[in-house]
Amino acid sequence: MNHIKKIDIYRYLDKECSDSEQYRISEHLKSCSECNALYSDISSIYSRLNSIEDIHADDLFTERIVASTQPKPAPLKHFAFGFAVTIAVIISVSAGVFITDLLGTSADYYADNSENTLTISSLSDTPENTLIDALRELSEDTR
Amino acid sequence: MDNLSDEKLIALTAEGEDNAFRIIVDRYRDRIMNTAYKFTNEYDLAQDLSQEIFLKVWKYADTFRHDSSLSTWIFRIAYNTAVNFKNKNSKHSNADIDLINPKFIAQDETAKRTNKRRIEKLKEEIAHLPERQRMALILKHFEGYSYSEIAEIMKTSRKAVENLLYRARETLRKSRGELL
Repeated sequence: MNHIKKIDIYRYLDKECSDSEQYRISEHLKSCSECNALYSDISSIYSRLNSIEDIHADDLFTERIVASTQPKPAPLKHFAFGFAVTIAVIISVSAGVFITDLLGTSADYYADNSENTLTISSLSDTPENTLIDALRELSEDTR
Repeated sequence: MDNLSDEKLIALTAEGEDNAFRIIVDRYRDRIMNTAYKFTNEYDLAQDLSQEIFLKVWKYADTFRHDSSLSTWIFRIAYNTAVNFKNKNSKHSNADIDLINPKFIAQDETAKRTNKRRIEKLKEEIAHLPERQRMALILKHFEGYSYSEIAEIMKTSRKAVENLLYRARETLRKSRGELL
């Protein structure tokens, strides 16, 4: 008769055997006093381990741990959104400055290069009908 | 929020939601404390170890990948933290030494007290097992994990777990003979 290996008795007690193996060991233990004695000895370890009492964390355990945590940095998606907004603002401001500079340069160019050229400021200050009159006068003067 | 699943709670924890983290600690604190206590056999040390474990859960919550249960993931952190845990202040008191002195035990006449001493002795024996054997034993006998689950927690094979458990329990079985 083949005796059961010790490691198989542990697996049997741990319920880690297949159904057929479980059955084979169970049947063998019924008929083999030697293996049965070993089985009893090994199972007493399980009983002794079960006799170790559990402990409980004290009432302030959770609060103490939560109080020890460091705040987490903002999640990446918030960073990404903030980054996109910042870039959009920078582009808008840069574009605005560029356009303003461009208009300013054009007005200066025309003011500096022709004494007969109307300045941007005079254009903007002139109502529509007066503007037409001013253009006519300019045209007559140049003839 | 108390009714939320572990997976939802850890997702909120990853976003810095400390109320979600508080619930996770409440759910697992006794299990982690017991594991830490059985691993160290010292209450104060177990508290320090448990705190370190939960602070890692908070810190690394965003690395949880949902490919295992939160329980397995937390116990994996517990295992890694426990084996690396350095205790500079750990020392046994005289009372502890008396408890494991066979002469002292032999003189004890009442069965109840003898049984208590045996349990203390067993706890000492567990605490002196090699770390991997000790953790496998704790996960099997006190947490009820299967060999496969322990293998997942300890990042090893099922067969290796079987061998770790075999060696741990054989050591306890033989040492019991010395005590009796």
